[in-house]
Amino acid sequence: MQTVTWVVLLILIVSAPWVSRKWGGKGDLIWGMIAMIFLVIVVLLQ
Amino acid sequence: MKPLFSTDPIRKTLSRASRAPGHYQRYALSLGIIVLITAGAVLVRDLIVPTNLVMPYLLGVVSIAVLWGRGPAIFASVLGVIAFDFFLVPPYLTFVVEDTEYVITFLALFTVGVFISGLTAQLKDRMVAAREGEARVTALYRLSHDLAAAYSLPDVLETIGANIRMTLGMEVKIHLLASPGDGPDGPRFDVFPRQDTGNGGPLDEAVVAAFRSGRPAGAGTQAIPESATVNLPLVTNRGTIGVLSISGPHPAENGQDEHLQSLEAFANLSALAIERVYLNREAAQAQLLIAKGELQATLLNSISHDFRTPLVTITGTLSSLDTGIDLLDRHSQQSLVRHALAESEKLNRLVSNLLNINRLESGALQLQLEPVDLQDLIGATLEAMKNRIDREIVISLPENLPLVEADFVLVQQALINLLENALKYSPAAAAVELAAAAEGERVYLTVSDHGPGIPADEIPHIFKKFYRVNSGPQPGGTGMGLAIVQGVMDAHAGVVDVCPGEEGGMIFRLGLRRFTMDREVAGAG
Repeated sequence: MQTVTWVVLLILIVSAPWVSRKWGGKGDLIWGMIAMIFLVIVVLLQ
Repeated sequence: MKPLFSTDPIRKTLSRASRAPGHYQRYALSLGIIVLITAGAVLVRDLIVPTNLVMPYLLGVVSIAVLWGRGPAIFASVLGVIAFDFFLVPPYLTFVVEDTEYVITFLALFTVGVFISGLTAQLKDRMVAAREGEARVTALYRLSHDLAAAYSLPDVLETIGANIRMTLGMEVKIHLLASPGDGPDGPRFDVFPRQDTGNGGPLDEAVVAAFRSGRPAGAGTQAIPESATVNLPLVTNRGTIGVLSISGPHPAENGQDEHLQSLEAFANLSALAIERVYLNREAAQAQLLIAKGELQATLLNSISHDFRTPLVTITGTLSSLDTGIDLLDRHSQQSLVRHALAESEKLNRLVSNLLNINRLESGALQLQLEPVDLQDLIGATLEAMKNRIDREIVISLPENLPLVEADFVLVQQALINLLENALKYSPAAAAVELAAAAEGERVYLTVSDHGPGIPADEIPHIFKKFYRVNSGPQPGGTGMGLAIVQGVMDAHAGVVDVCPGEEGGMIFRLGLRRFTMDREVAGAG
């Protein structure tokens, strides 16, 4: 579970600059919300 | 001289932008800051309760928002939450939390981070916009100030180039329309600064696009964005008169609109300055035309009077001979014929003067330079004028007077004009003096009279075409005699000057180059 979480988080972290370049300010915000929702789900599930 | 402006705001703004880290670097640096904060927090996590450890993260997010904007700040917020959960919330090194209330802390950390970063980024954008706006206004003011002091087209173009180079740190080429309109082979431009290879090279496609559309084209615009230069049309009331082509470091994508606006403002100001030069030039041409018209009117007035007088005399004399030849004795007939002959010679001289001045002005005159003995020249001149000389001419020539290099016929014409003036403008009883003397490289021929002289304020104008001295007697003339003298002397690279005589009257002096064998040998070679 922890490994999957880290892989997903790593993908999210690496993709952040690309998302920002591709979609600008709105992309940043949506990326942040997706990351936070994922993190909260991980925390609550564990 | 101390410069009016001591800073280059726009260039500073641009260089600041070029020194700023790139897009990916900002994210990497944000990651680095969160790592550092986490490392510090890990060291003190046993001493401080976890909720208070949120504060350094908030500080880091705000700093990142100020330095690099909203994207890296949101990225740092998420990283902060992950790091806080994994390293600082018990149990450590797992995403599990012992108290689910920490979820609220996570969400609060993220929300506050996003909110503050949004506000900070907005504030920073406004600050940058205000600074750029101020810089733009200052740069435009400097350009307009410099342009106000430039009058000729080269000065204006140089000022535009130097100003944009100095303020924006960019290179400028100004394409000015060489012939009106857009020809079948495209517009033809004169390019400034002129290139070593001339102006005949192929035109950048973006330059033509900007000229034809009247809108910016090239890098950072919608038309031909792949071009290396930004091309801005120089639009005036008379249409597009050229294109300002700017090359150099362009700002990042988000600053391009403002940058383009700055360049457009520069181009508009430049177009106005260039148009002002064109208008000045047209006004000068209009004034020239008016002056030319006035000159033609003066010429017509002068010539018509001076030509009419001898013509009327000749016509009257010939009609008298025609109608009353049987009534006149031989002496009277001879007298009338001589009178008509003298008037026709006068007419001939007027026409010759007109033709000479025309040839001198058009440059069509070919000098027949030869060694001339001034004694011969004076003798031939007096012989040619014998019918017009009504008094004593006092001649004073030194022995061994050197030869001069001159066109005999033209210098004789100049001497005739001076002698005629001397005879015309001095009392009949006053002698006219003719002298010659060698001085250095030149030999001077002097004609002195004892007339009323010429007022000092009129002396600078007497060699102008059609100029007549306003004061004193007006015995007639076209005002061309002295202009021809000046023209002949200029053609000989000689000098002509005039000064008042010690006993009244005027002294005119012609200076001709002394003849030397070297020059003849060089000329022959």
